[in-house]
Amino acid sequence: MKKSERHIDPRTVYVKTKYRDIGKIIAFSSGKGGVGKSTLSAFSAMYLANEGFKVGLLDLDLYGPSCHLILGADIGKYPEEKNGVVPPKVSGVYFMSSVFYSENKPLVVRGKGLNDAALEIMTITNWPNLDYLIIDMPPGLGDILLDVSELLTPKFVVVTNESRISMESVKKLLFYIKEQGLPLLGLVENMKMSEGDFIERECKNLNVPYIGKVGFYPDIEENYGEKDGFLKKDVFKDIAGIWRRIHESS
Amino acid sequence: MHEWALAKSVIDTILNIEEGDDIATIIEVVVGIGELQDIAEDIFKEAVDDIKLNTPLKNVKFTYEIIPAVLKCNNCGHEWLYRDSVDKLTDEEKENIHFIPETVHIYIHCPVCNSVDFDAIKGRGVFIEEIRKTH
Repeated sequence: MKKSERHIDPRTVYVKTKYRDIGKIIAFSSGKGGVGKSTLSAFSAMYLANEGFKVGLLDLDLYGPSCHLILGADIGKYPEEKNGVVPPKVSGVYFMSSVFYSENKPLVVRGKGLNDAALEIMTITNWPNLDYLIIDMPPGLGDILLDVSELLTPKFVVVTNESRISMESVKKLLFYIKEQGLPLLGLVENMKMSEGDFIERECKNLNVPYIGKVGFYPDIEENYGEKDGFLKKDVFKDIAGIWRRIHESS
Repeated sequence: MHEWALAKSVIDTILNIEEGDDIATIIEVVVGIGELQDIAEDIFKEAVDDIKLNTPLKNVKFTYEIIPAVLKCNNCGHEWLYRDSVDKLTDEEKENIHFIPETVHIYIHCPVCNSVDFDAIKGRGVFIEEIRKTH
């Protein structure tokens, strides 16, 4: 008898093939924290669902998950199980996050553990047939970015605010995406308060599509967990504009 | 049950990595089940049996090995068995670890130095330990 393959993690091949059935996978990413990835991810998912698409939202910011707050998910209840874990529909969006299994306590874990946790969530989640899967990525460059790039090959939307400090980190992410030949939809400038065009000029210099801007809305948190309220707000017009340009360019 | 998704990942992975005629030479697959994930073995085995039926693996024998979960502290180097800590966990905490084994870092600390910085060096989850072939 011949012995062949040994000690294979069945999750990687499975995730690679399973997620091919999803229409479009879009990863909201940034080199910097605090620029509004989670808000843009969750609002985008709600916007697309409101447009009639079947949309999933996967919160992979395992150190600081927050999409459940924005959508208004009940994290005290386990998702149902049927051929895996079925993401509950919250604010019109099929939603999965580690918070369903962490009691909202901190997950302090090294890189390998982070990879394993992300891979486990991707494996056990039984998504319906989605038009879009929006991924809220953790800030920075690291384990989850590598996993998502390699396993899911999403299209990236990179998020920054108008600060030079933020853009300095974001440039490194853009460099990685371009250098690796990963699909890049472009950059969104979030929480924009000034009339300046620094980020637009940077995009031109870097040959990166500038998708558009989302303004700074001090009352934005009033609509967390409340889809109908969000849809009436000015930020909705900005999100709609962002998606109109993404649809036009892809 | 989420055991079904894990069973499907095992079958799909074998079918993906083994090509064409090679699949016909497979006689046995050894699946390791890490104790940390604490999956329902009977449900998992039943799922494997059901899923393989409609595949070229339908006549392949699947055997299972339970792998004890060994945890090792990165701070003080202490090694211990997960089963020695499990009695201190609530049912909900065990359930959370069952779904995402890394949540163990939320609920268990090193029994010597109290650090959460430890690794599961053995017995984390489901692995294909071996694919045995006729030639």
